[in-house]
Amino acid sequence: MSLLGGQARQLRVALQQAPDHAVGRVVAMLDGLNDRGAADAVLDSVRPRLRRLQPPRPLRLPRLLFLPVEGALVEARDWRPGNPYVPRSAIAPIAALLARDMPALAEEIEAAALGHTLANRALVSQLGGLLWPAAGAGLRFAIPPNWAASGLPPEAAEPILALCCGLWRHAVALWQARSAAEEGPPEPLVRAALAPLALEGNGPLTAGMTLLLRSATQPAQVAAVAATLSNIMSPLVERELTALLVADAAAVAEAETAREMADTAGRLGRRLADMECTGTATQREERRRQAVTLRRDTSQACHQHLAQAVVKTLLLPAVRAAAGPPAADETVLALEIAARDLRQLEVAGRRLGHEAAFDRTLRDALQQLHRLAQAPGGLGRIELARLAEILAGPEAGCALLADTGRPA
Amino acid sequence: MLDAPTTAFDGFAAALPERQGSFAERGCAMPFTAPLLGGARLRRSPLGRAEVILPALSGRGFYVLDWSACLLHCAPSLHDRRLWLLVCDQENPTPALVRAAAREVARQGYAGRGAQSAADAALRQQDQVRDGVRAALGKRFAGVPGAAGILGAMVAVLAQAGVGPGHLGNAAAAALPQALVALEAFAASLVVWAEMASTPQARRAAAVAQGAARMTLPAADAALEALWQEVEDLPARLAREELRPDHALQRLVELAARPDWLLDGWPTICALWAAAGPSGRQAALTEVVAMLPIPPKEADVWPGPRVDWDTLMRARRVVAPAGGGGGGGLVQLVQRNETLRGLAP
Repeated sequence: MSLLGGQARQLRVALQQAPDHAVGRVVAMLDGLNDRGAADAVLDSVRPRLRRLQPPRPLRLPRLLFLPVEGALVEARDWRPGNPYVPRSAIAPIAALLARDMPALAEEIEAAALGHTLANRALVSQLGGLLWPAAGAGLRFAIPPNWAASGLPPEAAEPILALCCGLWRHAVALWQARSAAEEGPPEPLVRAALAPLALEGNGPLTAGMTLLLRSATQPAQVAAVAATLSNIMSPLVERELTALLVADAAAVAEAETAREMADTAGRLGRRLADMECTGTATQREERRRQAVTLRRDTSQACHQHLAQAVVKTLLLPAVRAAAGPPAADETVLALEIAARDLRQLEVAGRRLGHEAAFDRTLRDALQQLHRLAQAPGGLGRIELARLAEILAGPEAGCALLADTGRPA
Repeated sequence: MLDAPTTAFDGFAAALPERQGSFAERGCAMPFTAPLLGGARLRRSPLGRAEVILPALSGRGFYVLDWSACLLHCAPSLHDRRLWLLVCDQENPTPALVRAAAREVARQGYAGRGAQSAADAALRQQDQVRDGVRAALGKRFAGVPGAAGILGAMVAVLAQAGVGPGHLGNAAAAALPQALVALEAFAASLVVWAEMASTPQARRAAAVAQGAARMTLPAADAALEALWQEVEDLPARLAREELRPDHALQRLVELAARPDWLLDGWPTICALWAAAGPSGRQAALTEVVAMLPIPPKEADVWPGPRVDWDTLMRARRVVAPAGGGGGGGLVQLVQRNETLRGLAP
């Protein structure tokens, strides 16, 4: 199946207007298209949102092949000759080149990946371990088939392929570090990933560093390693770090739900903490100066969202449920999900600042729950105590039960 | 088990042997939902106080805390506090008592609606098993001298273990045979997972967990078989007056406790593995390895094949300790643990 021009336009508009929960379904449909060019063109319009929502993407050969290259990927319109980037429009032709030159490997990968998504990290590592080194060592420099469809000049093929091959040759170590992003990644993994890329040149090193930075919870540690590997990296990594923080802060501001805002604010908080305590004294001072504004603005945004969401998603529905017949499982579940999301937002926001404001909002919310517990109705006392517990910890739940004459 | 400031727990480190002498010393697995109480066991101290044993955060050794210390350092949930209230005064806590208390707490809604429904279903199933056991024993012990006086107590004793395959008619499977089946499935799932595991460390952890499961299975199986055989032989022995009814009942109580003790802690582990899903299994496995229920030396003289737990414990020492409680924040971990209460009611 492929898309006609009018269909692509309609889908682009639909995707831009779709709520978060529907985006995953549309993306899954687009991922099933044979015509990747048309699908990519539609997806380009919502790529920042996809990065935020991270819907499960099917594991396909082109996607697997370019996972380690993600740090170098740019939209085709942003690519310029001589820049160390890979335009997205080159993905399909280069994947086709690989399938033509290494058909057995391509078929093996396609077959093993069938029905799996990128969420299967073990399989990604396993298949990547087969694919990337083979692509890095065996792909000949040639104009890929259907290169014209990429909209790139023929002379662009060789430097783009060279950059990709440089990354693929060391992609196993790079992906190992990328997979450990939640733990930093640890410095030895970062060094093992970036040191061989430095020998390939500044293009692969920058792409590798960018890939790790975007996912790292301790990006300053990644930057510090990169800066030791190449003289030109120092100013570049500072720029990348600043851009990363600004993007994180923007993601907090753009978040539409409490959960999403909690996730983005939590990530920003961890990254700020890492950056403020890593690097030289001058770097740390400069980063702290930048962090003050970011902390103030994002914690304020978190508190504003919390204050509104606590009423809209928890207190009003709880009042409605308490006033009715015994609440259905779905109703209680929805209230508990809301309380968990709010708690996470409160924890993440509080770490960035405005602690007193968060305290105030929580106290007000708990008072409302206590009032409901005096005449519980559709929600039982234990259910209300659980909401208080989820929102503010077990002591808050105990206090509510004690207040209603039934200690835990 | 969750990483926490080590200093908070330092004062509670206890020089307990990695493999305890008796099940009473090892304590009963407590299905708490607070992440900091993961892998907790309840036992009576030599002075008779109820105390909580926690696997050490380093993965080696134990902490021993009384409940007031747990309240101070481990943030027990409402569910945990309620459960503690129900079991802390038990003079001889057993897996059966803890299971009954945990079901009651879940039934009251302290672990959420999912766990509440699961507890209700488990209690209904237990009633069905009880009816099946009552019918089977009634038939088997009809006319046996002295049996009528202990029949009710025997039903209660065998309600978790059943009376052997094929004897319960259409009644649901009893809890302990079901736990054996779940443990078998867990061990089989580990084999498949280990083949796909990306690191030697993960494969080693899988081998340790699988080894513990494979060593527990025949022992628990033999303990159940011994119990069922005793039930089978009992009518004739009572008829021949080889045993007094009260001694026969005492013997059944002891035999029924064995598989329960051997399987104690495994249902939560099986549920943890099942709930983890493909992407979370490596982290789950680290938790599993830290809380593997190593049987104490008391079990060495029970029927069943001899197994080398010392080798397994040595292998466990080189597996990385649990550090992050399976990943995620406290809120998600409590929710995850409540899900486990639903999967292993």
